[in-house]
Amino acid sequence: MIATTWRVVGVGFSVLVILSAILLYGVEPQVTSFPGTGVGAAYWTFDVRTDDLTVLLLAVVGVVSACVQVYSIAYLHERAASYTALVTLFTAAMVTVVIADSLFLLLIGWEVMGACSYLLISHYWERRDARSGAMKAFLITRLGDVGFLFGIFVLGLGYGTFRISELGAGDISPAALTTGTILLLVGVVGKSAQVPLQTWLPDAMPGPSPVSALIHAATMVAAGVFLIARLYDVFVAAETTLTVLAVVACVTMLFAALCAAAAVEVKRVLAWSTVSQLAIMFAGLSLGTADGRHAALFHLVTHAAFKGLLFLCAGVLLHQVGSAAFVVLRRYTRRGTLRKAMPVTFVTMTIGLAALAGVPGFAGFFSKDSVVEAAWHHARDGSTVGWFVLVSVCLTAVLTAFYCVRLWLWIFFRTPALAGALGAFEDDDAMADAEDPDFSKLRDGSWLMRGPLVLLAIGAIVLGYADGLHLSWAIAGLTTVLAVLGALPAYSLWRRGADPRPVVLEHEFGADAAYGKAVVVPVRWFAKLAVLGDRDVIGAYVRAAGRTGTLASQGFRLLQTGNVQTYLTFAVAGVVALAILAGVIGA
Amino acid sequence: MNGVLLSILALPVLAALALWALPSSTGDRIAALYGSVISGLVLVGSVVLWVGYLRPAGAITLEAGFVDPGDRGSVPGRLHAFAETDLTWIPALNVRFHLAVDSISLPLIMLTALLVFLCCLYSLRITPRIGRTRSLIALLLVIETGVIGTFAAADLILFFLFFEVVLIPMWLVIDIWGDHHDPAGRRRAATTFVLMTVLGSAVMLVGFLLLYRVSGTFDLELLGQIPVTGGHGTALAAAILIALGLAVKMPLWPLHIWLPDAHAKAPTVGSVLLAGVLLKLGSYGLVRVLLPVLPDATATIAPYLAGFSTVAIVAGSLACLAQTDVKRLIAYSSVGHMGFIGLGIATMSPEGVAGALFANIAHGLITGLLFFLAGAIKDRHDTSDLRVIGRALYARLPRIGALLTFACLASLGLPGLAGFWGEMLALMGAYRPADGLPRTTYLVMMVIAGLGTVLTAAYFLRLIRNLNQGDPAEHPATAFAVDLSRIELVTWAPLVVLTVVLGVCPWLLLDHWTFL
Repeated sequence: MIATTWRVVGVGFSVLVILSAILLYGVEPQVTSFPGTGVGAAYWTFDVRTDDLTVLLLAVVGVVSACVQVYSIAYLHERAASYTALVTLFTAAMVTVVIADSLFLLLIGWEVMGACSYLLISHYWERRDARSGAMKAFLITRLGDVGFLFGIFVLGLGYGTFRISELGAGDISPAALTTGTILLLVGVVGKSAQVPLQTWLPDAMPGPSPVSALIHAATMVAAGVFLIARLYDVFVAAETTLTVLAVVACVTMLFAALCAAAAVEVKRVLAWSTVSQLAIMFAGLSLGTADGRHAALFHLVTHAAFKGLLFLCAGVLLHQVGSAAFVVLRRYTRRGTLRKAMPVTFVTMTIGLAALAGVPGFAGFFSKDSVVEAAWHHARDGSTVGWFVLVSVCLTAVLTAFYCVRLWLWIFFRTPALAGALGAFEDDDAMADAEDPDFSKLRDGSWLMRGPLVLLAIGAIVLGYADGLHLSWAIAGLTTVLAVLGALPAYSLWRRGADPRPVVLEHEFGADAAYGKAVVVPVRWFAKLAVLGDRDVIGAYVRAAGRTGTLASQGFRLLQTGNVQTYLTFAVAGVVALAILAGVIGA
Repeated sequence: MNGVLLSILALPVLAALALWALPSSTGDRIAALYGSVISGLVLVGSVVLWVGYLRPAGAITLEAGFVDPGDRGSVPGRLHAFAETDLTWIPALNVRFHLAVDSISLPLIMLTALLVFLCCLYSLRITPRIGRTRSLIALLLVIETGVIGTFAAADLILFFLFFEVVLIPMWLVIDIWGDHHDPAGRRRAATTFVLMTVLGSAVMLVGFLLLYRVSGTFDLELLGQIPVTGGHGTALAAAILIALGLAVKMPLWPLHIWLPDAHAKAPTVGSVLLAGVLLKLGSYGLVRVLLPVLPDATATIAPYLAGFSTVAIVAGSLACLAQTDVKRLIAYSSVGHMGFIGLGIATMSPEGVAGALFANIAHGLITGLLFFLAGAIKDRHDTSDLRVIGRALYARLPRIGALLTFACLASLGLPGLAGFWGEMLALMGAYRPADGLPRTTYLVMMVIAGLGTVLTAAYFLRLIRNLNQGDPAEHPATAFAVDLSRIELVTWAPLVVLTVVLGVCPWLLLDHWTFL
């Protein structure tokens, strides 16, 4: 009953968001003021605003969250009330971020999203990986948010306002501008899981798949992109920050794409690819041009559609098969069973992967090309950053095509080279395929699950043409060739039944272990030290003081003999001593 | 309005005397009901006072927009007397019976009244196993008088007297109604508590006397108007002594050693009042007595105060990470939170001091809720040891588990809940401390304190993980586990609601601290 109410509220709220996006479409940019508060020099309001960016993001958030809410009705049954309430709260927080015209209002939404993400990742709190993944996600984003808060201080107090629409108008020292934007960037890097704070997103995957689709693919992680687009004037003025952003983005997109190429679980591949695609958006933003910003936002929208779709497809696999690990899916895919039993999932997932890989005609192809084009224009104007971005995005396009094709072939098709079923993922378990698994339960989900898939699949194609078709044939040809270059090795490896995974990629460059050694272990050590210090140092002084008091009183008690003569002797001696002392001082 | 102030001050102690006059066979329920009615009246009185304070055309209205940073008003913390009572008391010593409140003390008085009321209400159904509820309620009421008196005193000697009045009842509460498994431990905790705080207030009294030597008056209103200038010599000695005395109460690292034991061994209502109200006496004293009265001397010691506060934030959080007892963990978390309050005060800037005041209120609400929850968990398992309680509380006590998660998120300073604004303003104060303070030092403190918030998040998440989450198969439900009872819901709901309201509408308090 409660769960049903929450579901109605959740779907209703998402529809409301879509409606408001429709109503606000084309409306002149405006700010609605609310009374603020403040202390001393700091004064902040809770203003909201609307403009093109707000409407765009509202539409994305509304559509994806509506899809996810509907999908979740069929997907999730245990603890559905708290789950749906949290997803709704998350949507509200994201809407707050999108419409905020106050840095503090934005921060509220920003961190409430983080908290919802934490609670939703740990939805299956019985599982160890969900518990630790949730904790890791919250702590790493929280670390970034400290930088974000300090950035708000520096920029807000520097400009003398916490209103987003007034930032960038006042005079501010270049040093403060650079420091402030770099600090904001720390928060963005944490939230969008860019290097060096990337490790939390792949570990956030034990959460329910619809949550991964909404939070960890389409909206929250894209909030970083939104923030930089929102404060673009400020960031463009800070050239150093944009260069740092470009470096972070280029390193991240290659890093994450390489990790995705070695991951052996569908959701983990998708998580790494999200990190990589976000980095492409950041690369577009780091160009500092209007084209770059436009391309980044275009990619944000198409990415929300196809990545949300892919995660929902992965959810169907998880739901029907029970696992999204390659090794398990491989068993079900003999004789193409998986493909034939779940036609809708297969087709929509193919569309999603095609969009991700940049197959011509799909949405991802157009948006990625627009980033490449913006980078090319910038590079042509003699910018090093432009060249840097151009090369990285092209390399990433190759890798993306590689891991998409690898994923698609390995989970849906039988390897011809290994007709007997032993494949690259069954190395450890030769008997895994001795008997057939139970195929009887394999089928597409109910229409509640199929509807969102189809809707998002349509989006993953159509959205590519939403921006007006302006194709640069040279660039389109180049990226197509690059995609083929990536797809061919994946195909040939699959034909031979091989899946080489370098150890360094499987360990994801050892970042996780290094952070554990560099941060977690010392903190634990210091924690023990703090407790021992309290007990054995500070506590010891207190206990010693108490004992001194007791000892002193025992000593004084010895004087209390009860013998009058002794008392009198002491009194006389005291009087004499005082008299002598007085005489000495007086003289 | 001074009648209202006098009556909310006198009512609890008179009611306590009347309660003791009743025969000791008085039923627990009747005593708790009596206490609830009395403390409810006090709560109503304090709200009436606040409304009366706000009514004169909003006292000070906020000017929209930024104040020029160069123009930084008067020193924060000065008493702007309202509901004043000023009588001659001991003319020979120049001590007056001078009571007054303003927007700094009134929210704290309301917090006190609320928490005592909720504690009495809670005692209607849930009391310590030792029994003797009649005396417990009477002592709670005496504590209420002492705390409200401290917050309302406008004379240093009166401040000191009320400050002391609180100690003995709290000592008895810990000693008699404390952890019934560990009589020796609760006695030791109570003794350490009373000895350390008495020592602290003795030091503070010496500071007051030195202050009197320099200024010739004990009157806080007068001292606020004509502060003692000069940052060295006697003024400095007085400031150090007063700060030391208040730091014991607050408590500031490394004088916090009494706190974990006292909180862990005290009964639930004792812990709630200890953390929610008594710690605030120290921070209130710093704002009221130190900042406006000895501005120059405070500026001399402020960097040290900030340093110790920052160490408290980090050391308190680290100590929390290694705790295995849920009540001790929450007690240690107070050390970290009071560190933020100390840092805010030490910045001597309007933002920092307002942050400290806001954090006072927020900490009272949130930590009060946390101790209620810890008490409920302890009562249900007869232990507060995390390893014995086991994990997967979500499966056994879903509502209490969810509330605990909420309280933890609030306590770690999630924006949108009350805990955030105080910490944020304290950090902002450290970003731009008052003129004349070393800014670089404060920037370093700000960064370390910011990392301290991550540590705070770490230990609260660890608590959630080790207590709430986990495999229910390994930690099966026990027969006696009853989820949220009605009385618990009623007593905790105001705290939850206020935490959200203050988080969403910080102007309810902040707008009244603009005179800073």
